[in-house]
Amino acid sequence: MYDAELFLPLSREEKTDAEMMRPSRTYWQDVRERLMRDKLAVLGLLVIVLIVALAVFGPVLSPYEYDAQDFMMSNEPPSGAHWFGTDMFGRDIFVRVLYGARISLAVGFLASFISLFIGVIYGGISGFTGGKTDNIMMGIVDVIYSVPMMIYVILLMVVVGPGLKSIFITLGISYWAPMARIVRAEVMRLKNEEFILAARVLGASPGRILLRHLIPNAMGPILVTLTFSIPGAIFTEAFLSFVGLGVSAPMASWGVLSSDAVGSLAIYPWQLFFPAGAISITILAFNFLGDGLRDALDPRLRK
Amino acid sequence: MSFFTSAGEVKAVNDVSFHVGKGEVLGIVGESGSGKSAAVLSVMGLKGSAGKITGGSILFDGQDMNSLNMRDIRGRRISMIFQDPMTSLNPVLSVKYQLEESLRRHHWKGDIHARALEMLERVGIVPASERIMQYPHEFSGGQRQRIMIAMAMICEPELLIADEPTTALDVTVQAQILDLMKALQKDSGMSVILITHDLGVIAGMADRILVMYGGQVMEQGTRREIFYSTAHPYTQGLLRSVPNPDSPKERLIPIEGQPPDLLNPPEGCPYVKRCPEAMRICLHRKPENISLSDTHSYSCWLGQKGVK
Amino acid sequence: MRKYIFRRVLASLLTLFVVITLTFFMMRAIPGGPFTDEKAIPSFVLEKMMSRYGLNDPLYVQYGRYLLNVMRLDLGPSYRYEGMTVNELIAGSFPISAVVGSIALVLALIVGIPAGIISALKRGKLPDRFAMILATLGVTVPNFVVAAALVYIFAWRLGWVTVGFWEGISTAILPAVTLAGYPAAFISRLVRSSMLEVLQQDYIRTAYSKGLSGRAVVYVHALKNAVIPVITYIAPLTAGILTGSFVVEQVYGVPGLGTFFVTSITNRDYTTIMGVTIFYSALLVSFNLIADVCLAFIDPRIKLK
Ligand SMILES: Nc1ncnc2c1ncn2[C@@H]1O[C@H](COP(=O)(O)OP(=O)(O)O)[C@@H](O)[C@H]1O
Ligand SMILES: [Mg+2]
Repeated sequence: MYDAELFLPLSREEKTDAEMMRPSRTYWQDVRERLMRDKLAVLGLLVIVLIVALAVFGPVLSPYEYDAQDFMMSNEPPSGAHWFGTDMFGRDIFVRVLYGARISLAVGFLASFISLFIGVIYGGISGFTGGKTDNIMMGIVDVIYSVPMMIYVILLMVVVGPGLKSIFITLGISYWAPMARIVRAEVMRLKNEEFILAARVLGASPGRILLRHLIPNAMGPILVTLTFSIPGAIFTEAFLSFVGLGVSAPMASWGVLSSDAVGSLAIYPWQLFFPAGAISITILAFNFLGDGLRDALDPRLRK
Repeated sequence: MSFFTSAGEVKAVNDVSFHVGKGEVLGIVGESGSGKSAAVLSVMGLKGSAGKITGGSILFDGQDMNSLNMRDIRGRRISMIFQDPMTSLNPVLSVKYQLEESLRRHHWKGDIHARALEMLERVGIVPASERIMQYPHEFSGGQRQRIMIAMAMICEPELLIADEPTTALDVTVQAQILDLMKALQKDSGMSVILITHDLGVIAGMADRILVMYGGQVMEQGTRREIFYSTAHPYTQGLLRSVPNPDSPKERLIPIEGQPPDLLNPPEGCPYVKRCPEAMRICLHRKPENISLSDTHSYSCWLGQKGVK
Repeated sequence: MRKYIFRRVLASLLTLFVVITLTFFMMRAIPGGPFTDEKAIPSFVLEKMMSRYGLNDPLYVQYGRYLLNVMRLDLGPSYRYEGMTVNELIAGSFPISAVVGSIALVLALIVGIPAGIISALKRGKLPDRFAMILATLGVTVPNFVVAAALVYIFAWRLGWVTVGFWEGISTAILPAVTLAGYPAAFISRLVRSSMLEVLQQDYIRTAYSKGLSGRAVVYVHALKNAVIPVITYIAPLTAGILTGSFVVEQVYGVPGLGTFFVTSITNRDYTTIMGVTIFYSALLVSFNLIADVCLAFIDPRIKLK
């Protein structure tokens, strides 16, 4: 019935699988591929790049100055000459929104990096040292968490006075607690892994282990937190400017532009529409990117 | 049945056919990933959103399960207990609620609370009247599995499916749970499907045994037939890797290699890559089922070696 | 259980103490005294004011006095509103904010929780997509933008409502809707992800294996577990509503505590800023406490810790 040939035993080579030797890829390659497949995240990234480019080059290319007043042209609706219209001093809103982008983005990035720096160091030390030190350091973070942050930011702004520099400082020293918690949790998780123990056995100093081994391996969650804290800072700046604690004239962030426009909303709605749209789109873009990044780093959350 | 995943279709169970008689204990053995859970979950209709039955039929008490309302069957006529007692009970609901819920759902005639207490006592959780008010986190793993058993048997089901009920437990606790299950089965006369990857667990309990590998049945037969007239090389391998209480000095021999990837199931016998007797034909053609007796059959080309 | 609540109360009091201390010293850290920028004040008047408010005493005396007063629930006199205490000022404006804020919180819960559940159950389908787009907009578009847009549409374009005058509940609706936007969006995202997580748990499979209907499984077994993180977030959400009220009240002309707080900042009314800050913090800490107690009732595992 069957060919006797078929019943010859298989050799070892015939048994080993070609498939088993599939090329293995690194974690970050996987993450990048997953992120690139997420349309919203890619869209968010593109929008962010576009906004950064506009903020850097836009004001240079525009024929108008952000603080050039022209009373003959005040409160003009959007037109070919003034794409976004003009404000009550006849200043071009388009260039003011672009200029505002510089301030808002600078606040977003710089304040986030300051809190990143503080949070990573604080959380790293707390998690790495462990024990009593960790208990005390995290107790402090717990108290900070239950303090209504936005109100303290306002208070701090009252103390240091309005202005761009105050905003950097205030936001930077206010919002590091979430980062500290995340870094600590990651460090706690990682510090008993074999590769860290190996580094210890090899005599690496604690500082080196923390900076060279632990923190790079906690990069994923740190990155996600950072992506969400940038729009958070942009929003907070807009909010502070809106209640009158932001940067001062003639400088204008998106929050200042929006705040100025609210009074004349009934008559000149576009004056609010453009800066408000800019804030919303930017925050939205960062959120899309952050959501995508989080999913890409943690595939378990997806299907 | 298949799982449809982002990576493709996982053919978890293929051409598997088995039956359980009234009052009988059927053991299903196989390494993890061999499709044991998938097979019984499709019987229960609990394959989850990714799982789909792609063919075949299931008869219960002579009726096609598709024609029955599965929700009235589950928990009433067929019950199930799962592998991990630590996560199988709802952490925010009391034991009382979780026990009585089944009774209420299936319109138990009689005192619901008394029945819940009775079951809890029968599985050895005492004092039942106190402990019934507690929450799952207040019990140990073994106790939680006892509660799971009480919950599964509370409506006096005709069939109990136990999916690796002792795998997550300590060895001593394992034996207690198995003894409990055996006693309860004897008392109630229900049928049991006992799934495990450990032949030792099944040896003391099963009347008949089904050996699964790579989503397929390799061999099935009575306990005697499987242990004493083992036919399939995979079953032989399994037996060699389990300590034998009769000759404890004997060396244990692990089965080398890994189970097949069911995303790309092998064309021929799923065991070919690890089989010491593998032949050319095993690579490309599925072996046919060979009957050795009314109860004993296996799927392997070795049986056809001499046949020309 | 009692011990747990006791510990939480203690922790809340500690937080409040830190808040009061921080607020006090931050206010004292402002360069110049509270009356510095009033140019025309003759020095003898200034001296009189300083001594009337006890500002010439050593700092620790002032601090001790303030702490004691706050413990007696006395937030002191306002520096700007002659003859008014901060307590009176808060009592006058907070009820209005409380009405708006409560409507907003209730609205956020009754919209956010069902939206999150439906999204999770219909994951990837149209209702989910739609709800999540709305929710993403809700957490990203700043509330002053939403406020301005709603004012423009409903007051200026449609003329359905008036803004700028407080006429009770009817004028509370639009501000409340605006304030509810962010928390509703946040809750629905939270409920969705926590529901998805819970639905994968083993005990859900157990519940199905008992023959329960999908509805019983979702609403009894899954929901009770899925709301746990929502409760944890109640306090931050309330904080969102409170701080949101600073701008939203301004845009709608609601004479609530938010507007009042912003005014006192512009007026540099330091005792009022301090008092309102402490009042807000106390409110939040209380909400945190309530949430913790609710959590202990819902999640039996908490008593263990
Ligand atoms: N929900 C699921 N989605 C996709 N694949 C699954 C799922 N559950 C099980 N599988 C796959 O189906 C196969 C059989 O799994 P299972 O029945 O759990 O095996 P066992 O219970 O024998 O350990 C495995 O290859 C497993 O990876
Ligand atoms: Mg299994």
